[in-house]
Amino acid sequence: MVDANPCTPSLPLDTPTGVSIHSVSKRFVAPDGAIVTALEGATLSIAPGEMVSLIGPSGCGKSTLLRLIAGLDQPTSGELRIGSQPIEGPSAERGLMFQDANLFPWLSVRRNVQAGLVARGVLRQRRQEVEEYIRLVGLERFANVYPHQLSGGMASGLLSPERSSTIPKCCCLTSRSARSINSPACRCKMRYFASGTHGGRRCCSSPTTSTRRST
Amino acid sequence: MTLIETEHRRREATGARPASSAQQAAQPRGFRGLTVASPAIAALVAYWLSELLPNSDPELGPTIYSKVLLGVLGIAILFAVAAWALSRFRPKAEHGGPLFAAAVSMLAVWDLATTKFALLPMPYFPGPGLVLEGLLEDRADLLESTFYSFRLMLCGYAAGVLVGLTSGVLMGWFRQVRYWGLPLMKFVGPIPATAFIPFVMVIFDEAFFSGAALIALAVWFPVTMLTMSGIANVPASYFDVAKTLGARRGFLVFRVAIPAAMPNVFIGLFMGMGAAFSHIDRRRNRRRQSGPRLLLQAAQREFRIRQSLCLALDHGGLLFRLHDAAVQGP
Repeated sequence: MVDANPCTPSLPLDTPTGVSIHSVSKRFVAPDGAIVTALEGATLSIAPGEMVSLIGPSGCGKSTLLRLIAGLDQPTSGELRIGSQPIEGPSAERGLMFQDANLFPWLSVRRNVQAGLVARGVLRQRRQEVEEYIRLVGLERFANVYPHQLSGGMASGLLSPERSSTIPKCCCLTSRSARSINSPACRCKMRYFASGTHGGRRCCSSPTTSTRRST
Repeated sequence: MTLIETEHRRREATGARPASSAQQAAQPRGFRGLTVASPAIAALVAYWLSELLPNSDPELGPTIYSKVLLGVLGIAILFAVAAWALSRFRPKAEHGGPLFAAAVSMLAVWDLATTKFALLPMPYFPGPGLVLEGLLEDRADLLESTFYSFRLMLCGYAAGVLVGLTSGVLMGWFRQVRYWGLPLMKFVGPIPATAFIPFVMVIFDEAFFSGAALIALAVWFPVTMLTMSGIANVPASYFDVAKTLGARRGFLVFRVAIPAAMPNVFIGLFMGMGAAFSHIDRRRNRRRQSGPRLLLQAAQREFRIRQSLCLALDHGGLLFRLHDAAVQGP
């Protein structure tokens, strides 16, 4: 069993919220001018605390939907909301765990973790949370080393929502990051982000191409 | 016991640790005495060869080369002793020892190939002793030339880098700027900066400014192109990550795009330094008859090979050393 103690730092919790997706379509223009429809009329509702796996073959639009929820792309039509607010762009309240760790190679582990706080100009007030997160992923001894000096498993422990030192209201996992959920650090973090240990306040979605992976 | 603790214990038990250079450095390792002593050994051999072997030209008297080798030997001994006594200095000494030894060995080979065995034709290839004497004899001229070179290089290079970085970032970040700027770059960039001498001299009447502008022009092109290329090729995932962390445009440009493009920028800076060096002093210094090119031309005119070589060594080595210090830190 996973001990819940290291996974429950005393961080501020945001208000309960859910994600609603209504008749969302996303089309891309290919280099040859052809229209590629990645999503058509997707409608979905994710309740607070709910964990949803998106299952489907490659290219069916799973990651596109996550990028729309994260606000990195805009839908061609339809509406996405988090709580009562429409999703109009990226925000730290919607975390996205990318397929790779995507650590900034020019920053140390500590500075990578701080990056989100620096970006939002709140590092001074919330500096202590950085150490808490580094401890959470078990990299205390490696806080000052650079990403190329970490093993792949250690780097994957710093997938992006954790790097923001922010508890996102909604946490999206791409397929590879969802697969890495079996690593001890990631399981610990997923409990932290999405399980009932925080009162089921957050929703979490992840895409996968097989039902086995989604378990 | 938590899973994280278990994982740490497993790592410690199996030795599965990251390939951290810091960790590698921390691992106990035997003192590599021969490596740190190699410069002293090389200097001793070079001194021994210099003293024992007769010169190919019997008229050539003793030069300052032997004394310099004794000085190098002293420094090499200090180097080895410091590496043995100071554990903090040891990794640097072990890293730099072979290079130090190779440099001293090169001196010995140069001396053998010229002064001792005359394998290379004289007077085109003077030995180290003659070159060192030339450096000493002409030190006033060399120092003055170096001073003017540095002043010109500093101003021209700094101006070129500043403008190049700015234009490179703008062209890399803004598509519209790239649309209008890239054709201009493709047209103007490959033209040698010396082709703009007439324009530069008309715009900048003062010789110093015209020289600096020419260097800046030569530096601007590689710095701009490589900065633009670096910014344009930053992986989109870095921006996605930064956006999900709550980053705004300023953060994306200055904390993501520019740092990610730095490897390219450094290549541009290095290429710019080469361009600046090749264009240094290519202006007519009407007021002050000084500068490395004038000195070099005078040396070539009077067939003073030794002085030409001194000049090249002096300026090339010093300028690139300064560049390395500026780019990489001390």
